[in-house]
Amino acid sequence: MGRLRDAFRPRRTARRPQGEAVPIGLLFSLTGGLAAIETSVCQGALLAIDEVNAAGGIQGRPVEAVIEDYASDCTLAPIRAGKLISEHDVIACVGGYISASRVATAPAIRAADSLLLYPTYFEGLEEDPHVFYFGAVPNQYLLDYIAWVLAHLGTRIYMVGSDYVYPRAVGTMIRKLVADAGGQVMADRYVPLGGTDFAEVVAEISADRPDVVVSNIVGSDSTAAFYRRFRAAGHTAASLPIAATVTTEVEVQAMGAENAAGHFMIATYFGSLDNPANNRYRAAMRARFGPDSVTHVTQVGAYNAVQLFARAADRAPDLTAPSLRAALVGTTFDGNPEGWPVRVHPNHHTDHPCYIGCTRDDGQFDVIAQFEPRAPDPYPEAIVPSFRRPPVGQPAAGS
Amino acid sequence: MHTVMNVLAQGLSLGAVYLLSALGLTVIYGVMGVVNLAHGELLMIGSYVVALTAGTLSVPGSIVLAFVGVGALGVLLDAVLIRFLYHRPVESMLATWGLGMVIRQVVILLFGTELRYVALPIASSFAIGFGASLQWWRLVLIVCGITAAVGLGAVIARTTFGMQMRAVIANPGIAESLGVRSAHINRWAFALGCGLAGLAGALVAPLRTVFPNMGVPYLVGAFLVVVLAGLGSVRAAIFWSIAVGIAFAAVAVPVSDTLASIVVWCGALVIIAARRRPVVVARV
Amino acid sequence: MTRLPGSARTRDWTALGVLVVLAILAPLLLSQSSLRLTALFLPLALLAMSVDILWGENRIISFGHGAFFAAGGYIGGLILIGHTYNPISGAASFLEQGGSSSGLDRLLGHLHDISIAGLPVPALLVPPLVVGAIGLIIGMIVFRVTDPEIYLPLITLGITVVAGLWFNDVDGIGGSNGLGGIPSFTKDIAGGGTTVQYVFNAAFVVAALIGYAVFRQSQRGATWRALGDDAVRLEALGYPVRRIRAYGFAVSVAIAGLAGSLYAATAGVIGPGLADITFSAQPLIWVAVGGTGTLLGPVVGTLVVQWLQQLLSVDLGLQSSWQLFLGLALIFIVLLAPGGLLGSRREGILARLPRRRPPPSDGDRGRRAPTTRRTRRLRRRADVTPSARVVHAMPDPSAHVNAWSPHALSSLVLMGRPGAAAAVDIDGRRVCSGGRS
Repeated sequence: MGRLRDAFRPRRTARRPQGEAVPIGLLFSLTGGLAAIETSVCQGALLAIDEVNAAGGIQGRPVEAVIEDYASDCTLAPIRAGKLISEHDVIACVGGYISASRVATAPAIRAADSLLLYPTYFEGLEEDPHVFYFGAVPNQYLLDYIAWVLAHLGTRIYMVGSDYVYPRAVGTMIRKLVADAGGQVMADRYVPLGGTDFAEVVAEISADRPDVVVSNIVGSDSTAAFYRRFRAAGHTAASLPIAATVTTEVEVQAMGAENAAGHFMIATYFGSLDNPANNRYRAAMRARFGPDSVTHVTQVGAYNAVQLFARAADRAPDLTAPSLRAALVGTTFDGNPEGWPVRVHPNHHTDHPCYIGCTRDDGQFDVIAQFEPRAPDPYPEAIVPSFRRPPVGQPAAGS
Repeated sequence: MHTVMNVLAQGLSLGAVYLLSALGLTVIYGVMGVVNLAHGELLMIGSYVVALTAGTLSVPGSIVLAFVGVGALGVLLDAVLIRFLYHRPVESMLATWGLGMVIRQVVILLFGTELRYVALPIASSFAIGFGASLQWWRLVLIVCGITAAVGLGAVIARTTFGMQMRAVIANPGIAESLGVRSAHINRWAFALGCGLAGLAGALVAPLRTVFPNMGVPYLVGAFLVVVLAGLGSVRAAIFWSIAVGIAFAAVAVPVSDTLASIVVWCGALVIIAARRRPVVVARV
Repeated sequence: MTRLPGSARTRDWTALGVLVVLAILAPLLLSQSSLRLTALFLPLALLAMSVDILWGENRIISFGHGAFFAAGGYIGGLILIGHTYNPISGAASFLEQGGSSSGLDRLLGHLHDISIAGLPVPALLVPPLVVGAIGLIIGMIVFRVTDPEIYLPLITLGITVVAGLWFNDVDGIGGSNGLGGIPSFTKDIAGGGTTVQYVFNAAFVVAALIGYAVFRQSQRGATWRALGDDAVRLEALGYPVRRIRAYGFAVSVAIAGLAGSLYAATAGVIGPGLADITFSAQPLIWVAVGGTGTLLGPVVGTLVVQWLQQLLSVDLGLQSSWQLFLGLALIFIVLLAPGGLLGSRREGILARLPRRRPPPSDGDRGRRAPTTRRTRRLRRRADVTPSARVVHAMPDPSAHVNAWSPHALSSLVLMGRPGAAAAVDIDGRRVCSGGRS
């Protein structure tokens, strides 16, 4: 991995800040099954570190990235995090991708009283004092999305998802939102995680003739298999649209764009967003990591995480975890490629606008609707009463 | 009634997949006492043959190529590895598990981890009554599965090769003294078993995604059938693969795949527990 | 050959001594993070040992130990945490029924509160007991089958598949997220640092090794090994072979469950990925590399393979070549060096000779040995009471009926150990005896 590490080493810039470097840990899988996606997320953080250093670093000191590879094995993640904190003295870790990696890492971070900056949009239902969340939680995009789907695509909904925490949680919310709006969820199917056999699901869709299919399928393999099978059965976006919550540029690229063309996706970021911050971000990514680099929502999460953290650390009285935590809340970053200033809320979640994209033939999305940010609420009790916040003093989920 | 027809349609096509993958496993064990845990990987190679030759070869052509090609690979594997494992079931499981890891990684090194897809040769479906329908390709799969099983039975029962095979199974020493070259018979029987795995892979490729790790679930499904049918019995394999397919679909269609897997395996344990007679029936 | 030869016994104790010295030196030589990784690998070594109890001694391999390991980890983890975790409905399980917890949560809470000398003992005792009980039930079912050495791997493979799905699906254990934040066993002991954690886990491995060494040299150990050599003969001797195997299986999976609990507490996290088939096959590779049937082989194999994987795969980025290498190593070991790293060299050379013919001792005896009514009657009636020092050398029941004559029987019984006493009773009548009876 020596070569790999070299490639990731932050570039030196002309205005290099002076003083002892401030180490920040980057905890991602550079090997194993999640390597491809997590490497690209890691690139977002690295770009941000370069930009922070170019802008003068943290309190005049340069930021140094220390990368630890947890090899797609969540058991290793807390050990690697511990190593980052105890041997490299990092002041915070950016990392984790799937929820399981966050659930595994957070306790180690808590034990060492450090900070975890988590880049992925996820199911919410969690508020950990030692974790900051730079992806959206469902209440920030589902309310607008489901209202839009019911108004524009139809009210008879067929829902399919992977047997996984995120699709189950989002599925629960969607069922409630659809029922409240007078729509009908005709079926709510869960296929095994990583499963690629969708023949039965597609046959059922063909027989049921819903107005729209809502897909919460996660993972490139499963998503690709579903879209391909769906298209092979003769369905097109015109005759029966899919409204997805997890089919980003990465998944579309993996399945071949022609299979997703015309279908819909909700996200807080699309690579095709036309705003000054995103145009600059895309150009910087291409310059830094080559012309083929794909930008996507989680990568932007990692980028924002480092940018916001550096701004907070610059203002903080010292670089201890309690000061950094206090400083992060309320910090704003205007250069958010999502096209809206991103702010850290007291519940450690962040602001995000959301966009509905229609997949193009080139694998990017045409933005056809956009919504202003909603305040992040990881426990949207108003939507699903069983999503209750744990009582104060009780450990949060999984802790 | 709609559900019942759906269960039947899906159960039969699933049973055909189980049958095709179990046949090769059962021949290889029956003749040379080798439990081949690399079977899923051989099946994966069959799928890759179809995926890689799509466009250059006709569909029947690529399916035949998968059968012959994986069979030829079987001859090679027999020469370098399998012949040292005859009638050592435990060692054969370990060595073939290692072989499976090697094949997976070689495929990754050669073709990458990306997913491949094979277009359905016949995309349409036909109605089977009560609003249920069956894809034509699934019918092809069912027909091929049963044909392969019956054909295999006929080869064993009626041809000279089959007779020699049975002689080698019964008593290799006496068979050899009568002029049957047991090494040859074993090699070709292994090639036949591998070819059947390749055929299975080729036939299921259009229905599933083709990628290096695709083999393991098929191996597990094939094992489910042979645990119930007994290793080495073709007729029992036909019966049990269809039974398992329908049982799986009966839970999967109205409820979920996850519950179906659990019900089917727990059912298998109960059936094994309830059996008074030994599971191993006469070989082949 | 059922008693462990004297030389092997000495070798066992010497090797154990060397390992203990190395284990004591490790905290002084390794960095903190390396020690943490070693502490994490020790429960895996325990898992490998539990696999070897079946495989090395009894020629039965299991693809299901990953599932039992994970089950132990989940049970131990839930007790250490003290409540269930349901990521979908948040922490709703705390608040059900107007503030009181569900029955399972109350039970977990009670177990969580018990601790003896700062040690959460229930998390050490409950996982092996529960997992062992499940193993006993499965063993009672599975060992009814003839040729368990062929069918057990297949059935345990199925158990792994079902367990993986079930762990992902069942409420209260975190679904695909798994259980995170499991406190370590040693958090209240001497500061609970990495070294303490390492010593705690190492103590379990050493204790298990000593227990295993003692077992190997005991009468029961001899019976257990004889079962692996020839189950049919042992059955003819009147041993309840199926029940012994079921008990052995239960003990083996109980140890796997204990290892799982240690692992979960050391890693701080347990997830459904451990019940995956690829993980379940791993202990077999570790044992094969270390050497089956050798006392230390499983432990050494696990540590060697896991550390190599860390160094080559993770630190050098050779993930895919590493898997290729591991597969080739497994084939090489089975074909050319069945003794693994610690096995005797002789074994390796012997196994190199290709076997073209089924050796008579292989699994298909049940089919090739038609038992006549007379032998079956004799088997039932031959009441051979194994005294403390009986050697289980027996005529092959599939041999000619004359071989079962009392004379042949007694001479064979006596052959095994000079100075032993033996007697054969048929229908309650002593037909022969010899030695110092």
